[in-house]
Amino acid sequence: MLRIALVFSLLALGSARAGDGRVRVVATVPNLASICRAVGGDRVEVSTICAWNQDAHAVDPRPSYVVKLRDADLLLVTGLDLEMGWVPPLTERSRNARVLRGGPGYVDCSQGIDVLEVPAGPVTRAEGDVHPFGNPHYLTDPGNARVVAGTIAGVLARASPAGAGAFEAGRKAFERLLDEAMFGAALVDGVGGAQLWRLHAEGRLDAFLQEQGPELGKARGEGWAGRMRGRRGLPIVTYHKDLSYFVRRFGLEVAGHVEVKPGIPPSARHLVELTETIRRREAPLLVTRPYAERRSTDLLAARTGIAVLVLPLDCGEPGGAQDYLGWMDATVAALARLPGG
Amino acid sequence: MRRNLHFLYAAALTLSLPCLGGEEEPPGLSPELRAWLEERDRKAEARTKALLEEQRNEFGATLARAKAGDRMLEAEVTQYLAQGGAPAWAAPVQAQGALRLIDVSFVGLGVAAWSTAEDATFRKLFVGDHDPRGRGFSAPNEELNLAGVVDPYFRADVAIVLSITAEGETAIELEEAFLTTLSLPGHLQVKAGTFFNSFGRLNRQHPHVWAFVDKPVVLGRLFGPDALRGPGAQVSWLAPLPFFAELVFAVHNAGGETAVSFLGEPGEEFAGRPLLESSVRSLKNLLYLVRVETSFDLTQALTLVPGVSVLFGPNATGDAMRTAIYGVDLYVKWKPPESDRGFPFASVQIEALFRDYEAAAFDGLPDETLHDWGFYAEFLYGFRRPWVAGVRLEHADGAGGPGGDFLRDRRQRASANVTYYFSEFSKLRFQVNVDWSDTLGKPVTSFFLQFEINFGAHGAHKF
Repeated sequence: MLRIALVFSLLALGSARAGDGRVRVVATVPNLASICRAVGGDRVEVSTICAWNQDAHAVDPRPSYVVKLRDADLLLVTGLDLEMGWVPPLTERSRNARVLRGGPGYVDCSQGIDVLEVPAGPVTRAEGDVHPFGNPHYLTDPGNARVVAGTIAGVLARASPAGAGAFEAGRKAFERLLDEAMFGAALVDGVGGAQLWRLHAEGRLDAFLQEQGPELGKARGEGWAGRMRGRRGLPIVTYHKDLSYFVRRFGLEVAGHVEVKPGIPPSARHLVELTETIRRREAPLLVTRPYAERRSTDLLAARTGIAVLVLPLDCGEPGGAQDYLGWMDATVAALARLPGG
Repeated sequence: MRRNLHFLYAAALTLSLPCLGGEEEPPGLSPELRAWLEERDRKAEARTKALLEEQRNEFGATLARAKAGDRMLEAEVTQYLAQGGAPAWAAPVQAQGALRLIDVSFVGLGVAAWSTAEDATFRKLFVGDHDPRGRGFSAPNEELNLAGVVDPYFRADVAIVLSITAEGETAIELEEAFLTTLSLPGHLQVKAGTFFNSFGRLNRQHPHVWAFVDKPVVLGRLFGPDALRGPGAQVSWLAPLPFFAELVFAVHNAGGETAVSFLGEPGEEFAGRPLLESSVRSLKNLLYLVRVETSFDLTQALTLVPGVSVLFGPNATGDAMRTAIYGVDLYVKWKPPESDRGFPFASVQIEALFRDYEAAAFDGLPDETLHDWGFYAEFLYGFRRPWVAGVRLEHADGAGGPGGDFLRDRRQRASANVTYYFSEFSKLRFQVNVDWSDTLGKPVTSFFLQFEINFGAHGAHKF
């Protein structure tokens, strides 16, 4: 018995952290992990639960995730009930009160987000797997990554006050990269990031830039905003309702969804109706995810000629985008390549 | 913002005053006074409008700032924190939402069955209290679940099960009611109340998570119709290792119909010996469990969960008679990350159990140790959303004691089923069982159609 105890305590010592002062963060999805790494730099140690090609609605609470949470200072969740099926059993088993819902290390990253599709009135499961707090796929709008970076910088500063300055610097650097990726360096220098996002959200960016003279006007074609300028009003089809924030940001239109209701696969009748919609609206593009079934989308492609794009909903694809900015860049590139513009 | 609220209250009060005045207004007002009152009302209204407008503008500006992603405030806070004086942990960070006090859900389980065996034999074959009752329809498990976080220190879980007995009566049982600690130090967690014993895998699962309609033979034999459960306490420790390793130690009462291998119910019989009255005289009269469960992720898709359990406790065939039950279990699940809401997947679950039962001498029967053992192996294949096919093989046997005991003689069973999930919350299952037994003669074939609904709060997925 003594020998067993000895072995266990040696193992315990071996696995104990070096106490390097880094904030240990677990993020449920890769995009949150990526933003946290950008803000926290080498003062954070970030691990992820969900893989790039995994549906965050339906993750198995594997026991190894309990071990990750056991040692975490912070748990970053998407919130809005996206992870409600598997985060509670993991946190409760982790024996780590910090990361329990309500604990100081439980960070709901949806705070401060202007949430879309919050159902009005009571919701029942007759509407499928509907999220009563609204659509949780808010990181498809790069503007929301700015908000999330601010949230993360704040919680990191609370977890490690000594690093607050560094986290603030990290947030600013990330924000600058994000602003430049969205609008191009010339506009960010000339107008300022916050102002650009505001004008873009209000649909007044083009008018504003024209007023500013030809120099800034020339720069308006840069960045994601510039590349998506010609796509306003373009109808697209998505498999799940997971592109709503992107669609609002860039002024696209959703002609329909392949799922009948969130989480409910399409019936034959729904596919027939969707086929007609695609033809009528002349929707050129269907966006689906690596984990969604292919039979329905293949059928729609064969019937209507719609181009099917299988895009990950998170960064981390081997050989693909390894961080949030790269992932957003790839998403914009895929949608900006649309025919007819 | 609070300052503005004060303004609003003041404005509302100003507005309401003339109204009150109006009600009490005497009929014969002088024209001057009437004019003055009207003027006063007009002014008050104008002031309120201005205040409301100011309020709206300010609110609009705040909203616009927030929407535009202006992080000025956040930066200020961060800067403040950076200047020192900030607590290590400030207020918890959460989005707004409703207060979640108690999660209520109800599981309705109905079975239609047909068997080549008459009901009397059928009930010997299917000993589980939540198994089908015989030919025809059964409602063996209608379960009300209550769960919630009590405070920052405890969560609570309650399961109340109603069922219709073979006699048509409604039976009610408190299956579980326990608390779990949430914030003990040292990676410890305590569970207390009345709950399923943590032995193995299936004993602690509620019937609606079973992959088959009925309980495996060996579990019915060793743990009885209701599974091994009862009042007790459990401490578990998550070892500080780089992989998952949990050590569980539990103490339960050893008596009653939910502890058939131990003290059981006085007056009942075990292997020809009557069970005697017993009471807790020392710690030796309680039931002890030690379990180790570990887990390894072999690949992104493959998870392995092996476990070992040992149970010790007294039995009631005589003084100082003891029972020990040993178990090994293995769960392997394959599920690729890009699975579509859990499909496809494949899993294997195997449990083997061994029991040593010291039976006292009685009426010509010797003082002897009875050995029983058995296993079940379940294979599930979620071949296409939302279909799951399953096969289960079972064997159970006993040595020693008088022969002709249906609960100890050799039994074998093969089962196959297919389940269709309408959604995560409802399913339909068709199952065929073939039972072989030394005492039965020819094999018994049984067919089941099981329907289950689960409505209410979203239950946590367990692994």
